[in-house]
Amino acid sequence: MSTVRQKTEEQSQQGQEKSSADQAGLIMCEYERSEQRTAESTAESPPTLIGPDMDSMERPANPIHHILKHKTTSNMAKLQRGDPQLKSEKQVKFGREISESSEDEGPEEVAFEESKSVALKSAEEALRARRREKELLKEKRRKKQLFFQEQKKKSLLSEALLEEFDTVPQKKKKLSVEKEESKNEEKEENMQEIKSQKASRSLQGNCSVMRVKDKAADESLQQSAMDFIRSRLYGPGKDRTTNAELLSLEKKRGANQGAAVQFVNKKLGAEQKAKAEKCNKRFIRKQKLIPS
Amino acid sequence: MGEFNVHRVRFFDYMPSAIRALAFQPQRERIAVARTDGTVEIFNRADCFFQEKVIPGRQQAATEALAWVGDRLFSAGLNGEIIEYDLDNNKTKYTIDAYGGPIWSITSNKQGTHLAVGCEDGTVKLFEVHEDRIQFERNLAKQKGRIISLSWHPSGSKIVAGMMDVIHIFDTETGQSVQRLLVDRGVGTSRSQECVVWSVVYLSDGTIISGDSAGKVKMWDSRTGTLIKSHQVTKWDVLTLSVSQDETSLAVGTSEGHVVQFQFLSMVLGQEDKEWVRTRTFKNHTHDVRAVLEVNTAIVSGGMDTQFVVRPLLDKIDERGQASALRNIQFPHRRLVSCARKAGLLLFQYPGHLELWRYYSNGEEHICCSAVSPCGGWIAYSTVASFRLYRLHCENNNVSIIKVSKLPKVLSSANQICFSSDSSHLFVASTLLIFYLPSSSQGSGQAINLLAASEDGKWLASANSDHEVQIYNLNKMKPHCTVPVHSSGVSAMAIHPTTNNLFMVHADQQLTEYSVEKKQYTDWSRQVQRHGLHSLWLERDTPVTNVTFNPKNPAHIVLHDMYMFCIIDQTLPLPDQRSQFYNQLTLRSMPEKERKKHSHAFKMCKIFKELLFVELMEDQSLVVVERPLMDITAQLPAPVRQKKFAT
Repeated sequence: MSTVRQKTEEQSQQGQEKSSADQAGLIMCEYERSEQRTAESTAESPPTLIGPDMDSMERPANPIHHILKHKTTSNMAKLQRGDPQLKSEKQVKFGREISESSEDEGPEEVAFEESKSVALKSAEEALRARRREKELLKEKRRKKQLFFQEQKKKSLLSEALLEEFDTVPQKKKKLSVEKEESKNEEKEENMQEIKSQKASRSLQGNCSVMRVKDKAADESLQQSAMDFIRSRLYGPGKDRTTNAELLSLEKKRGANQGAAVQFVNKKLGAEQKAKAEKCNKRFIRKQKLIPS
Repeated sequence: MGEFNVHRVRFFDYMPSAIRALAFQPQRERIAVARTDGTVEIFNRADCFFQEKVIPGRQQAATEALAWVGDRLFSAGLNGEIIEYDLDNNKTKYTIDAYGGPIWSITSNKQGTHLAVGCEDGTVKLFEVHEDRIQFERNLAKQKGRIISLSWHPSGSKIVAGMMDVIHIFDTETGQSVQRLLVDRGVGTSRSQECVVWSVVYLSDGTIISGDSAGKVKMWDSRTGTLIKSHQVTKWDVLTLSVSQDETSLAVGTSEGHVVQFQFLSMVLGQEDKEWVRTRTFKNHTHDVRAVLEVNTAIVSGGMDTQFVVRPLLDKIDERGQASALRNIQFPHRRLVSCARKAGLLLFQYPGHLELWRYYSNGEEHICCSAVSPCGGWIAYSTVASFRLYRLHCENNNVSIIKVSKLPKVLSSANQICFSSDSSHLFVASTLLIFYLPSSSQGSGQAINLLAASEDGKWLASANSDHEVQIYNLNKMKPHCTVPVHSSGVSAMAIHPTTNNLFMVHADQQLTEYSVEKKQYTDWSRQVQRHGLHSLWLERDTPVTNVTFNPKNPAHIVLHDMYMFCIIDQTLPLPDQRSQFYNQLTLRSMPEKERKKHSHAFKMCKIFKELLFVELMEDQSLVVVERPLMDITAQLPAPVRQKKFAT
């Protein structure tokens, strides 16, 4: 049954005629409809269906498909009779099939209602979602605004504190990470930022305000430059090995072949030996090999 | 020769520092080498690459680049300062802060009028070179990102700067960036990191060659701003480039330790259209090569494995000889160990401290020379800015040191220190030759490299980097005579205790002996010159750094270089060219009578590993200070992982 349904659906969607005798035969075998119904639905003369009595049979599960199939049989009948209006009518019909059928039969109306309600619901949902999003955005904006206001208040407050702290003795502290990344021109800005940060920190804990000295800044620039080179040459992702391995490979393939340097040179293999020792001890303790 | 008890000393943890930059001065054929600890060394290419001068560095120095302007040497480092060196006195003349943050690169134009430095803040700063100083002229247009490398066009009108992911071409007149070349990042994981253009070269025909961290050497056309050709040279970084003077050959140094050569050739013989073609690869380093130089007949390279390698390009050398051998200079060409013979003490000179079996540290400045008196009672050392003298007392294994504070102010720094044999006199040499106790001074032009005092305290010999050797009479406090100038500099010298002959070994492995009293070369020396030295002796590539004598046998001279030590017996005949040079083992296997026929004056011993010092003590025992290269290699930074077949 399903195959037949699919076929007829295709026909209705594409609006093509299928005048295969097989199809007509199939339909006639499977479906029963009273002549009365067909007479009501279509203006033209109803076809005569050969089949068992409709009334005794149960209604098929899906009324729409049923109707469509029926329609095609009637059209086929028309074709056989050579109805000239058939094609154009059919095209128009397939466009309005649903609405026409909904006029007459209960289930059709219900079906239309359902789909209508579904469509309406989705539209409402969309509207609601849009409203929600707008509200969310509003909330975010409000929060941001509040945050900026508070920040502004904070910074003003920190300057006042700094004036207070002018007399307080200053302890040395480590420079923050942001400081290391700054350039010379932005030094002053950063100094102010750091001052404000440190002042705000001092509000919370036992920290004190510290002045960034010029020499420290130069050294940190040099340090960051050296870190840059180090990370580029020796950083993660660079395929580096150890000197011990280099020497061992040379020994393996060189003129005087010998064992790997970790075993020959005591200093080189010292770390690995120490690790091995620890592992052994742990293993022995775990396995309780030595009765304690 | 006899048998000696040998004390092998291996606790001198001498650690050389990595080479960071090289610069060549064609007029005088000098190569300047900058190391990561701030030391600058000058090698003389014409004199077998002898290490003529060493200017010690400071703790905070992080030299990144060197540049010659005529005869003057400038360096720039990550501490943001430009340093000019006083090469006559072996020290820094002055430093000037560029106020641009760490300086990554320095270069001079061909006309010798300006210096350009590339700074961390993205500016290229131009300095005018005056007679006695440099002066800041102006900044070129500031860019976003740090300037890693610079190169000046030979005409002086344009500068190309290599930065992160991009290369800029500046017009020096207007200071604006004229062209921008985008360098694409590598494939795979390196796509997420910025591509660092480690080195750029500007050729006279407008071609720019760049080496970047993606391992590519790219040729660009500066007029149109397009890429001509890109060569993938290595998987790791291309760290340095150098082009020859005639712009036909390019040397590329990589992180792998390989030096690749490109040549400007036409693909089809006879045709005019030339292009840069990769020709040879030299694998002489184990660690990253951070500096290369394309000197006309050779490629000089240096890097993290601290070795200074000279690879001759044999297609440009006609005859085979010293110049065509692969040179690998590892140890410095001076003495780092002094020995107090009578007291049995050894003094080790490190950059930051001295070791005399007790730790004895200095601080920021590096020590340039040190000495211990023969009796073991005095230690003197000198840094670039100061000179210290200490009195040692050794009692029952306790060493106490007292500083001698009242030193004459003239003693500011010294290049060489030498004690007289009876420890009553201290000879300090800088450009002025100063005698301490009693004081008197003599002047000479260039900085003095070597000092030797005679055993009886009467004579003092000094050698400077102009290949001059002067002898002074200490009793009369006057210069006595000058030894005839030899073409090569003196690498080691000593005055014989009994005959008072000055024995000198030169950088070209020639031996000369000069009689101080008679003021002429000795007969033995003339015989050696006439006979000529054996080819195996002359082909040695490390210079002799120490000469001493045998107290028991006046005809013996003990000298050593990095790989061998030798005792020269002046009573025996000199070896022929055809005779076996290293004949000690064969002699041992011969019966007594046969030995006398075959033995010759040079008794070589190659048992020991890389030697830093050999000395013959009073009791016929030999002290040998070794520094195996494997121990040095074990402490270097990590090398790249190269996959080799069957490992």
